[in-house]
Amino acid sequence: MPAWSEAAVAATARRVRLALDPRRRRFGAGNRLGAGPGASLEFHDHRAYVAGDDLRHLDWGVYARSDQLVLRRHRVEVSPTVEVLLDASLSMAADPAKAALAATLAGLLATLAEADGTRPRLWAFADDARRLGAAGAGAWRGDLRNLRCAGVAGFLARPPALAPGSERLLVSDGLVASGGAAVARALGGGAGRIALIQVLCRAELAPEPLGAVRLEDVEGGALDLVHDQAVVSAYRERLARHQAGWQAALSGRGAGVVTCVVEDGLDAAVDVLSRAGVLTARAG
Amino acid sequence: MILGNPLGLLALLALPAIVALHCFRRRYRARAVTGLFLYGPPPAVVAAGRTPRRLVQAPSLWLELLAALAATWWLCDPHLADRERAAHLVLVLDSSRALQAVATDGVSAEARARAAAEALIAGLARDDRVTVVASGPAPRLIAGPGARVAAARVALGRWQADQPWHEIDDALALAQSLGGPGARTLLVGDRLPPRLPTDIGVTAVGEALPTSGLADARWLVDASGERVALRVLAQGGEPRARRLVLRDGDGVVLAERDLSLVPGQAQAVVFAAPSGIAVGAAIEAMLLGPDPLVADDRARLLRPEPRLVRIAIDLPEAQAKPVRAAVAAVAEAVVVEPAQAAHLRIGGAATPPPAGTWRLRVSEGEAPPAIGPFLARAGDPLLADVDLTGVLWSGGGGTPADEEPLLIAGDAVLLSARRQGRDRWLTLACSLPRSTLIRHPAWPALIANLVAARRAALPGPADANLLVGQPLRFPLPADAVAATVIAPDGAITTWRADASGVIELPGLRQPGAHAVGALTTDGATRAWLTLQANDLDPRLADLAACATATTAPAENAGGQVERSRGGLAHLLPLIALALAALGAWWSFPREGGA
Repeated sequence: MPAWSEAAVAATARRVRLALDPRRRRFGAGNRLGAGPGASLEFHDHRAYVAGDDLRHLDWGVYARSDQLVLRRHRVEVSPTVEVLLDASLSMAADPAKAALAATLAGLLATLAEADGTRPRLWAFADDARRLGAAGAGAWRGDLRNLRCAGVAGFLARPPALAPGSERLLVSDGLVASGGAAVARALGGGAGRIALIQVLCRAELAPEPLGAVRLEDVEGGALDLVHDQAVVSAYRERLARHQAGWQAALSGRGAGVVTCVVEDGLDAAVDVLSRAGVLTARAG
Repeated sequence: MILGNPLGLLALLALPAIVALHCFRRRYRARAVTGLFLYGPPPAVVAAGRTPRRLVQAPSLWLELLAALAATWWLCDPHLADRERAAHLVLVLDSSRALQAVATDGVSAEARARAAAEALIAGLARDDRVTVVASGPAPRLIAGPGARVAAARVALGRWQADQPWHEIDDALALAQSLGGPGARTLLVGDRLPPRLPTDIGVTAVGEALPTSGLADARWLVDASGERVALRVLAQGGEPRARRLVLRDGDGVVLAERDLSLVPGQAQAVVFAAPSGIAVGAAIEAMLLGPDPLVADDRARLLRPEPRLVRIAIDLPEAQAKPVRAAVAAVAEAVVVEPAQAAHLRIGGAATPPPAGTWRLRVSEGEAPPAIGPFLARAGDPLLADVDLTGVLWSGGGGTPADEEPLLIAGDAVLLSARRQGRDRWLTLACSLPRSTLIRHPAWPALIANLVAARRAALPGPADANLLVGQPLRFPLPADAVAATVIAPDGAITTWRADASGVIELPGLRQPGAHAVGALTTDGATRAWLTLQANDLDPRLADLAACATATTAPAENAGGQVERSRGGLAHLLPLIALALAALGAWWSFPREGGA
């Protein structure tokens, strides 16, 4: 994997943060307000006192005014798990810029997760799935720097034990012949939310007619054809169906498919992610 | 530079074709993609036709051109002029067994002929060519055509003079056709053949020697019993004495006789068949005494199986009596009871006889008498030498319409027959007691012909002792469709029967015992009988014309012929062709073209 730009990530991390969904995480102490009642200072709601409730949470003001025993509840503070799943198959290395952007986005997501006080879990899917940074906090940076793309399995490799309820962000080109549904089945089980951050080159999104070419897939196979406008149209049609398949597989489980164009660079990708709700601007 | 085959230059037409193909070759630029599956299945047809492009000097182009040049090289056989100076010697070896005759110096003509042939070959250059033809009833090519000297020498070492007597002409014709106009053709034998073409030379190494030997040997079985009949012939020289001995398989002398032979006069010797010899067992007849050619001094004879025709007569006594009287006069027939199995059944028309049985039905009736003229079907053996003049034929009852008339008088069919499988069914329309036929000489002749025809149709040959080359024709058993003949050297030949179950052998080529098997309809082969062939041709022992002489071909063209290319000249272009083709096959798909 080409070296990801840590400086660009650090700069970007100062202006955006992860837009996580607190409702998906209901246990553990953290620095994010959860959806249910807890022990933060943020007011949640009132409810009638029942025997056994902690008397320290009685709203004495209400009791004084209404002679009713009412319990004052506060919102819980949670620490959601963020899992970044990076596709490291050979197709990601077809273009060095593509590999670099994918690695940078994965690093950005992990950095943002750390900034939110969570411990991100970063997985690389090459011939098999491998956890980056398993050695300790922050170790994922070195592992990501040394990561090499290999193999053809990618997200179809044997899935690792992913954390239940975690926020899963897939960074890949999404060009899996078996379609997004198969990936969603393999990696989406028990996830809180799941989204595909699709990194594609412009030539993959909208190829131009090339004439007589031998198309050699970096993951195997070749095809001789005359790459004319008809072929391009058919390609775009199949790509649109493929994208729709991904979208359908991830529908209702998060941001869905967010496509980032390699040639547009990191900033454009951050904008796209922000518009899709994966990232949000940091306050102040 | 001389081209062995100028038409091979046509292969050069492949060069512009290859260049044209490469000009129209569609070249695909390789491009890496990540989602090949998005392009769908390969297109069934190309999007457009091909247009000529600039010729790319790819390795496959040069290798294909090289392969075409190598093919041209191999096809047109270019060579320098020295190949034209090769000599072609065609040797015809007289392979008659007569060359086994040992001359007064103790050396056989066969050994001298081999030495003479080796000397002729030794006089050739290393690259000269030799063709060796061995004569025989069917001439054989034992070296060449155009073999190298070493190969001819090896073939000559294996050659043997072991063929029966034959004309040399076929071998000479074969040699001349193989040699062509530039070859030197030489006959190596034991004599100077008469009327030899003038362009054929002769090296004769024989010697005129007096010989004596068996000219024929038979084991006869007839009415007078079994006899061993031999014919002895002396040729050349003075009258001489020999002893003729019969021995059994264990070497025990069964009979002997001293003979005084006069040259040129065959002497017949008849022995009573020795007793105690089982059917199918062999005895040996040997002519003792000094003789240059021993090949015809002995013969082996098998005791034949008697071929008696079993006849069942199933007629009323008045009709049976003249039939029995006529059958009794035929030595090869025995009368059996009507209930027994028979080869020929006379009468008994009620039920068809089993397969393998002939039938003669006597049809009595009230047909008007006939005194002739009698018209007989020409060529039928049943009526051969049967003269019915003076016969009063009366009382005929008619013949079946599906039978073929053999004898008629006026409108009346008197004798008819038809084929029933391999058998014959006959109908005699005659009242024997009322007709004068049974008192006429034609009656026993008719019965004898019937028995002879039936005997000839019995399975197996009439005589198991044959001469080499003697044609043979005999019926197979009823369940057999072919016969296999295993020669003494183990060679197996199969002979199919015709529709009437008869096979014809053109003659056995080797002396000795030949095992004959019957190939049945279910594909199985069972051992059947043994045939003994003896090489007793009087012409074989006639060495009077043998001589030692040498004649050169009258029209010697110098023996200069086109020499065929050597092994290296054969292999080099083929190896180059194979390597170039292999290289082109390997490089073509790696050049991004189609």
